[in-house]
Amino acid sequence: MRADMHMHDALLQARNLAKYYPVAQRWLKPRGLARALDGVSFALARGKTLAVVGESGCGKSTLARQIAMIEPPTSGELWMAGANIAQAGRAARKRVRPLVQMVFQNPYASLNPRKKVGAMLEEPLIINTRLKPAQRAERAYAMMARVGLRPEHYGRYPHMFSGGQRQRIAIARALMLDPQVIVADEPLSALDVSIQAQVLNLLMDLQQSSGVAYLFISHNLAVVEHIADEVLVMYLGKTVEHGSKREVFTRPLHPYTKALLASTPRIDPAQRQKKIILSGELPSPLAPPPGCAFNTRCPHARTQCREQVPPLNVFQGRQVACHRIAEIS
Amino acid sequence: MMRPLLDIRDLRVEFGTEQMPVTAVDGLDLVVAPGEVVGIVGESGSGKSVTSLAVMGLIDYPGRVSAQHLRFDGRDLLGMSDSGRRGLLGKDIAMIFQDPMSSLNPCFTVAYQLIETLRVHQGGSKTALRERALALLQQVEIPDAQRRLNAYPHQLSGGMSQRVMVAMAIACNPRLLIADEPTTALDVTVQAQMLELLLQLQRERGMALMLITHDLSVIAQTAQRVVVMYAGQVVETGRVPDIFKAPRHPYTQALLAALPERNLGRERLQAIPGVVPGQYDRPSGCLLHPRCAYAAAPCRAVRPALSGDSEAQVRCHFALDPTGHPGNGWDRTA
Repeated sequence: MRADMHMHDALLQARNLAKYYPVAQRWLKPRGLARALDGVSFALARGKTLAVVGESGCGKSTLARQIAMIEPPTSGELWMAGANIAQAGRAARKRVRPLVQMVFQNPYASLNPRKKVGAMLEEPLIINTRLKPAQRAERAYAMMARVGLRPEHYGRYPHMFSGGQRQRIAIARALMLDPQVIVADEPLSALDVSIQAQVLNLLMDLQQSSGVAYLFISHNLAVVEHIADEVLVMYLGKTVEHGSKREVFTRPLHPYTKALLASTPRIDPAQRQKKIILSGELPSPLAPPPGCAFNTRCPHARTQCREQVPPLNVFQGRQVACHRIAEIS
Repeated sequence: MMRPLLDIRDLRVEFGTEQMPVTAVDGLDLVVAPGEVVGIVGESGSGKSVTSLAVMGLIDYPGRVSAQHLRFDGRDLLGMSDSGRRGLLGKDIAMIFQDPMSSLNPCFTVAYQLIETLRVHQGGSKTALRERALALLQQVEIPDAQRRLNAYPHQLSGGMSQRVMVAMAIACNPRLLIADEPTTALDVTVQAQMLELLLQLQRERGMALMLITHDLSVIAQTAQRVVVMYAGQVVETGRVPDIFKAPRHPYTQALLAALPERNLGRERLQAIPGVVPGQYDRPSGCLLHPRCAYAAAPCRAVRPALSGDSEAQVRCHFALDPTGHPGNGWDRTA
C-alpha cells in the first residue's frame, strides 16, 4: 500500500481516521450520526503537498480539523513525531501541537481585529517558547520579511491590509513555530485571481526554503494541479481515489474523479466539450445511500454498487474505491 | 447590428459624500444585443456587480447613478417613473444573485415566492398560477417538483435554491437575464449543471444573458462576448475566442497569465504585483499603471480612453499586438 511505502519518511500518518458528529434530528427522537469523515488513511512526507479535493460536505474540512488537532477524531490513528496523537494524553499533544499549524480560508475572519500584526505573530512564541521580548520581535520581523510584508506593518491592525496581505499574515503566523506540516484549508478561495497567484507562489517558495509539508484542501482543481504532489479525492467522508497528481489529472480512474475534472470549466474557449455532467447533488451524510456512496449519481452503477460498500483497493499504482474499476477504466 | 436590448453610455455610480465621492463605476459603456451571452469579468471592486445593480435600479441613497443614457429596448431606464420601472423589472429584465441561500425569503414557501412574481406581472387564478409555478420548477429540472413547491428555502440545497432563483427569474419570460456570480457559491459539478441550464434556457427563449463572474474559465465556457473591468472601468471588450487567444489589454493578458492552467509545468505562477486600487488611492493616468508590466511615461500622465469599434475595444495607450507585445510605438524609456 502507498501509505506503507512512505513509512520511513512520513511526517504524518493517518490510519482509518473517522469523525462522527451526533445530530439531533427531532425532539425526543434518537440522535443520528453524521459520518463527516469515515475511515481516511494517508501519509504525508517532508516537503510534499497532499491535496484533498471534493465538493462541500465531503468531509475535507473535517479532515483538516482532525489533522490540526482542533478536535479529536472519533476513531482511527494519527501518527506524528512518534506518537499516536489521536489517543495521546495532554502532554504528548502539547508537544506535537507546534509541529502542525493551520491557515484558514477567510483571512478576514481568522485574524483577531483587535491585535496588531506583531502581537499576532509573537503570540505562538509566548505560549511555546521562552524567548525574551526582543528575540520574539526579531523573529517576527524576520518572518514578515519572508512572507513579503514590510517592517512598518509590525504595528498595524488587520483592517489596514488587503485580503492578500492578510493571508500573508495568516501564513506568517502559521510558520512562526517552524512547523513540519501546514494544514491549509482553502487558503486561496477568498482571494482575487490576481492575488491568488501571489499567495500560491509564496506558499511554494516557503515550502522550498523550509521543507514544510502541506495538507492542501481546495475545491479549485487548477490550483491543485499546480501545487500538489499527491491528490486525495473524497466523496461523502470517504477516499474514492488517491494517487500522484500526474496520474490523477492525466488519467482519472474513479467515475467521480472523472466527473469532477470534466465539470471544471477549462480556460480555452475552443474546448467547450460536452461535459459529463453529474445529475443530482451530494447526498446527506446523515443518510448516506447504501453501498457505494456515489451510486446515486454514478453513470456506471449496478446492483452491486447499491448493496456493497466498495473497498479502497490498489489499482494501477493508486488507490481507487470502485467495484467496477477494472471494467470501466 | 440589431437595435441593442441594453444600451448603456457613460454610466457612473458614486457612493460617499458629494465632497469625497467613492467612484464604483467610472464611465462604463455597455451594449447587449438581443439573445446574446455577454460575460462581464473583473476582480472584486471592479464595479461589475454595481453595474448590474444600477441597471436593476437597486442602488439606494447615498449611492448616485448617472449616465448619458441607460436604455432598455429603447426606453430610458433612468428617466422612467418608478411604477414604469417596476413593470419592467422582474418581467423583461430579471436578475439572479450570487448567494441563493440568502436571496430567497426563509419565511415563505417556494410556491409562494414563485407565485408572487407571476401574480404581480401576469395575474390569473390561484390554480392556474400554481400550475404555472410547477411547470417552471420542472423547466429548471428540479426533481420531485410537486413536493418542492411546498418546501421552505432551508429544506433545499444550494444548487436547488439557485434553481428556484432561476425559475423565479424566468417566470415572466425576460428578454434580459442578469446573473451575478450565479455559480460562485456552488460546487463544480453543480456549477456545470447550472451553467448548462442557463445556456439552455437562453437558447430556448432567445433571451440575452449577462453573466457576471470573477472566473475567466466560466466565461471561456459560456459567453460569446466578454467585457473585462478593472477598478470601475471597462478595459477591454471583444469576442471570447479572440480575447482568450490574443488579449489586447495588459491587464487581460496578465490575468490570463496568472491562471495555474496557463502555467502548467512551470514552478512559479506569473503573478500580477500589487493590489486593485482602493477608494482613495486611484492612481493618476491609467488606473493599471502601478501594476502594469509595460507602463511608460504617458501611462502615468494621461488616462487612456476606450477605443475601437463595436466588436472590440481596448483602453490602453499601447494596446498589445497579436504577438502580445505593446504596440503603438511603445518605448519604456520614453
